[in-house]
Amino acid sequence: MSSDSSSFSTLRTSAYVPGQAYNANETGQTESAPRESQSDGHDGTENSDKTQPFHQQAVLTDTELLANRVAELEKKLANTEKDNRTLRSIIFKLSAPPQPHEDDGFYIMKLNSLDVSIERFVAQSFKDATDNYLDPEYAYYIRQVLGLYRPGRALLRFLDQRVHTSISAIYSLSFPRMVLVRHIIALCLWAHVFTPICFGVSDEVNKSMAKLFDYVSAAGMILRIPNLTTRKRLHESVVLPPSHWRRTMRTSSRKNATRFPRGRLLQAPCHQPY
Amino acid sequence: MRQDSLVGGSSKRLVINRIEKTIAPLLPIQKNIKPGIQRIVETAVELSHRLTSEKAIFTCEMIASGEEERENYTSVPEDGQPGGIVYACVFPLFGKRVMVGPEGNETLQTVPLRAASVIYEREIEQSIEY
Repeated sequence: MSSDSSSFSTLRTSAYVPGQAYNANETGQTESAPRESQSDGHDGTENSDKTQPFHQQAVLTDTELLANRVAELEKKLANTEKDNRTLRSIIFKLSAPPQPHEDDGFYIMKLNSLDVSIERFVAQSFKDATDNYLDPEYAYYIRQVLGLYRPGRALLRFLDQRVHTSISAIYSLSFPRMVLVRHIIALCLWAHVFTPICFGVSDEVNKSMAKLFDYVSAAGMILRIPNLTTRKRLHESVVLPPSHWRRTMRTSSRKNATRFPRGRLLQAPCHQPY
Repeated sequence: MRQDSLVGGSSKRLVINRIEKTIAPLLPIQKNIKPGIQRIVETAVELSHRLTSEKAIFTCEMIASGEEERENYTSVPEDGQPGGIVYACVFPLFGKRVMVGPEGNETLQTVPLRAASVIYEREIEQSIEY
């Protein structure tokens, strides 16, 4: 940058001004020209036909200087463009799309381990199983718990259509009983540990956060809520269904002339944990 | 009984209590139930915390009883035979959200990461016959 500005100032100072002695210290070539012309003037015989007026020689030298300078700048431009390409590739690598913190293999391994530990725990609790009678009150309680969750209700419906239907009937059979225990553990972990965005946070907050996550994922961009100025309105928008947001975004897109990908939004999965 | 009764400061304890209270009558050996459940819940919560920062990428779903076997979504039976109808899901399905499709026309889709562990009706029937 500094070399460019100095060169530019040189160019400006080296410009020819009629009626003034031309003095460009940078090249030396321009200094020698007037002296040469002066010596020619003293001889007056040998190069008298080649002798040119002082101002014409200065203009020619200036043109050469400019040509040199242009060539130099063109070279710099080429180098800068090359650097830009390199920098762009580095920036592209740095701003790669967000990836999971861990590899898929890490999560698969952890999930397998959890599954195996549940299976082992249940199997250990079923050693020397002798009792075949279940108190009807307990059976009713288990049905109530299963009825709280969507997959649990599906199991109850399924059992109602099959031969070994009741919880008491399952209790008398070792393998189905183990399966039922594992199913109940999985249900509780799914509903209360894995489905919420954040474990331990209230259902309302989790549902709102889930909607936000779905919205951002579907849009494939950073969330922008138009026309929100107050905290109250922001809170309202968080609890509003995504359909309202789609309407808002469509309305605002007409104003701001930005198109929102409607098709992608419609394919967004919706969290319905229970 | 309300399903949102598991919120509050000691959510972990509440989940442990619910599981313990529900499965205890079903277990023949009542000894050391709580420590076992505690270990399972703590492992699950730790994993859930790791997933929290990536919730937009991962999803968790249960396979409903009565559904058909689906490749990559439900586990393969141990005997290698076709599974058939799902009796009960004993470990949920974990999926991953990815943008699929040609550049500029990508759509958000959920692809299975780990298939759900399920027990098929056929396996239950075989166990009863045995």
